[in-house]
Amino acid sequence: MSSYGMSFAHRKSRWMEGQGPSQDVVISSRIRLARNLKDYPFPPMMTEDKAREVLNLGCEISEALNHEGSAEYSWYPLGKLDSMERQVLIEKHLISPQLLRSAAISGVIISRDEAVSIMVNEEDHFRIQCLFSGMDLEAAWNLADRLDSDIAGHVTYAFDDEFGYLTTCPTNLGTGLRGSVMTHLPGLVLTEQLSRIVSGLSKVGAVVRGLYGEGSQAEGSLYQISNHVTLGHSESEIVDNLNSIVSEVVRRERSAREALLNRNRVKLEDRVYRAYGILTNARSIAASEAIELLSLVRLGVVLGILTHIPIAVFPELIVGTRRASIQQKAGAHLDSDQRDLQRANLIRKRLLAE
Amino acid sequence: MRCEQCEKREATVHIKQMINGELEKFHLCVKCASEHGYFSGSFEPKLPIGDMLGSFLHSAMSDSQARGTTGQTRCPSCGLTYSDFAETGFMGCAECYRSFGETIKPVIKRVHGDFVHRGKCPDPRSKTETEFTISDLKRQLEAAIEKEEFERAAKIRDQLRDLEAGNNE
Ligand SMILES: [Zn+2]
Ligand SMILES: [Zn+2]
Repeated sequence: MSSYGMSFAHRKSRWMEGQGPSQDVVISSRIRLARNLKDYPFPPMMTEDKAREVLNLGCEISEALNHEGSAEYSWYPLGKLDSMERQVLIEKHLISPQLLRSAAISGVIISRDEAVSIMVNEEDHFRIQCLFSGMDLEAAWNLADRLDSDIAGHVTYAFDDEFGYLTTCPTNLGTGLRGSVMTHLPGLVLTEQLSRIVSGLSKVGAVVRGLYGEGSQAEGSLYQISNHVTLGHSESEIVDNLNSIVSEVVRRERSAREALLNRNRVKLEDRVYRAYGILTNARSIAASEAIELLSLVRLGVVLGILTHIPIAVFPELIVGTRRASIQQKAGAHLDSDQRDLQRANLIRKRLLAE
Repeated sequence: MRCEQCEKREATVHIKQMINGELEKFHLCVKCASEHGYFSGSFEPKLPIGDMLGSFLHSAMSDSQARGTTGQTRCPSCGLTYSDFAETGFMGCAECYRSFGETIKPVIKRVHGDFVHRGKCPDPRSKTETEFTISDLKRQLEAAIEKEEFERAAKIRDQLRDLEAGNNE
């Protein structure tokens, strides 16, 4: 059974809890497995009839995952969700924007705690995603592995001994596994070390990109680090390798923060308090300004400059003040100026409530 | 060029995509492109290899034309042509990997390195660690012979012999 009643904008996903290891630097960890069916053309070559058959399989799998009649997993055909609600799912990272390209013939299975989302008819027939709070790739991989084996009991995957799981794009061949760790790196940005580290990471098999916006100047100093190669290594090797790369980034971010404090503590405190001052007083704020200031306040919280704000408010505010989430929460369509007012209100009230 | 969707703004996003088995091209403005899921906010990393893939694919095709694959070579199972694949970077079905196998292998090698799958298998009959090592060594042996590194090839052959002997015990 699916519940279409309440908007996803009112719920928190598991990754937004602000818990887990290394949460001073790491916001969330995600594992994604790409899987295709042996007997169906891949999504780009499917006819609409075939796509609907795969969509029905998605619905059946959703029910099969609910062992003993539990209501852990729900099935959402994208066609049944309005465009605002689809956008909220993107803002919460539960679906990719690409899934919208074929909204009439795509769908997603989402677990009650929103740690699991399985996209159907995206670039591949199935994209199994597990998303956890903090640095927890192992937990995400263990869950994805279990779900994958469960699904393999119901369908026949496209698989080859040499190439592994056959994916629509050859860049995902083999394990079909992409791990992505969302990190907050204001220390490395402020000490101007980031671009050097980004180019270093590409040499050890990792890809770095801004979470919002491209290039090295990502909004809010939020960066995601992912593995590059998917073929020729076991899943645990890929996860271990990404883990050790991220651990090194975490270590450097911490020492950059330390250096900032030692170099000029008052200057850093001043920036944090100014950001806090604007966010707790502004009556109108654009998304791009909000995310930069929230990033500074989060840094202040982690460094103990601001002691009364729990770290869990940040994912909630970063997601909750984006275009669609903010309108779904308000229960109304808002133009850009109205959104800026609403955003300022939301952030001010949330921070002052602590 | 005007955006095909709103017919107002300048089209700056140019997309090639297979839809219902036909290669289609779109020219959209940034706003319309993002509303249709062609932009940003994705959790999926934009891999630089994805962009580079296109040029590899075209050069792989010209290398292999001597061996019979042309842009019009078609996968018998799904109907995708090699040139469709080179345009979009997307395979059409599981069978495509066989249909374009020899042409695409060098491309896969450039993306992932010279490896075979060592991860999970959908069947419980998954390979043992030794079996993985054996298939790896066999590939290394082929490569060594191809490069005429016979001393190395002899060493690999000995290693293989030992492993296979051990495996049969
Ligand atoms: Zn447009
Ligand atoms: Zn095919």
